[in-house]
Amino acid sequence: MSLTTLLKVAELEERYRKVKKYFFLRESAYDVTSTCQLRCDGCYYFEGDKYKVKDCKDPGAWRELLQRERDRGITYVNLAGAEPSLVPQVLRACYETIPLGTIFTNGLRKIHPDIRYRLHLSVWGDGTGDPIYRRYAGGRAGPYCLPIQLKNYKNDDRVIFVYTFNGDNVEQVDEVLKLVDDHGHKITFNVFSIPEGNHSILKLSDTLRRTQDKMIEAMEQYPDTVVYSHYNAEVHTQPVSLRGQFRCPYPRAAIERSRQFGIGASFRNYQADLGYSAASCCVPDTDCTDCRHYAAGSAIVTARLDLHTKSEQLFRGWLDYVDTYLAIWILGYQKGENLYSVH
Amino acid sequence: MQPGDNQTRAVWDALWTSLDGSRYDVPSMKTTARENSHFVDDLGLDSLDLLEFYLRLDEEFNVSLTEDDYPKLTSVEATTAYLKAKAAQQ
Repeated sequence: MSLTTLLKVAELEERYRKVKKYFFLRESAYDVTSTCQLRCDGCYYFEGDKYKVKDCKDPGAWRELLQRERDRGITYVNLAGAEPSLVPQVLRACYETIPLGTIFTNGLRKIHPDIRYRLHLSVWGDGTGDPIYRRYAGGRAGPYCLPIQLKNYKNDDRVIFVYTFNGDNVEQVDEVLKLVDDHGHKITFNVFSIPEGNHSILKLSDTLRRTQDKMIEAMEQYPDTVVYSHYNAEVHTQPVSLRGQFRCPYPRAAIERSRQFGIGASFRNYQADLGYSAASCCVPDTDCTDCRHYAAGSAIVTARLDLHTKSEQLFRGWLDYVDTYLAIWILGYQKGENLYSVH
Repeated sequence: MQPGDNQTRAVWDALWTSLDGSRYDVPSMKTTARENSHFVDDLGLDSLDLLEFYLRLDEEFNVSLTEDDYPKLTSVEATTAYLKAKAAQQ
């Protein structure tokens, strides 16, 4: 099918026009600190050497970096780390320079309400799993983060919870969904993607199908709380990774093919010392053959409009995916009804 | 200013149609864009806008552009030349 033909369907044309207003988003990622209170099983940040840097703690230097990034055309920042909430002055400097973005946080420390970025609060399991998967930096069992997060961010519209499905916690999502729903918050899903050379027990293999079923069950049970789509659930739980399904536009993969287009030409992942690698991606050190990460998918799937105009069903899936992506990443964006139907 | 032959004009048309409904000030762009204006560096276009443009070229010129072609289509001039060369090969 052609794009022109697809856009003759009124509901598709309407949704396409809705999401098209956000095509200007051009992102990069910034590890604003190498410090974290926790050491999570399979954490990509503490794989490789990127945490062995000397942190730049000068807000002025970060402000200058983001001014240069803005001049380079970057319109959206992803502030990660280790744990960004530990460097509040850096967050403020970033926000005052590029006002669109997301902070990835464990939620144990409150981020000042004036910083109107989207906040992604990570959840790794319920009260039994979370303290096992996420230990304190010294090695002892970690806290159950969710109750602390809910207390810190009560009625905070910046927040969306991100539940990472792993090979051990599929059923644990029930408790998390109920708590998040009870508190009037929203939640979306991530799928654990193993770092290179890591042998975490959390890797999904035979639980992929069950994970997909659970995601769909959650959408049906909590339609106003779960921000996700059937198409998201399908593509993130295939035996083949996101890269295997769609190829990957990030520089880390694009460099191999000498193909730098879109995000492949502009994306950088800055480390806490303000340096960056040419072979960047949003989850460096993740094994690309196991990558089902939600942040990676936000670029990998959305970038492949061309692959999704082959049929109306695929185009519906792409529209749902982009609509979901915007609801997760843009503060105030309202997701529409899902257009893609399950076979 | 968008002079040129029919094929060049068709490329321009596909470009402006692709930008309809986007954030750009298209009337202003139409007065400043040149055939050799770089889509990203000069016009500031984003990759999804360009993808729509390439898909419209597929339809208009009955070609099948792939992701390996995209990095070569950097301006109206480069795109027109590329399409002409592709047509000559067929």
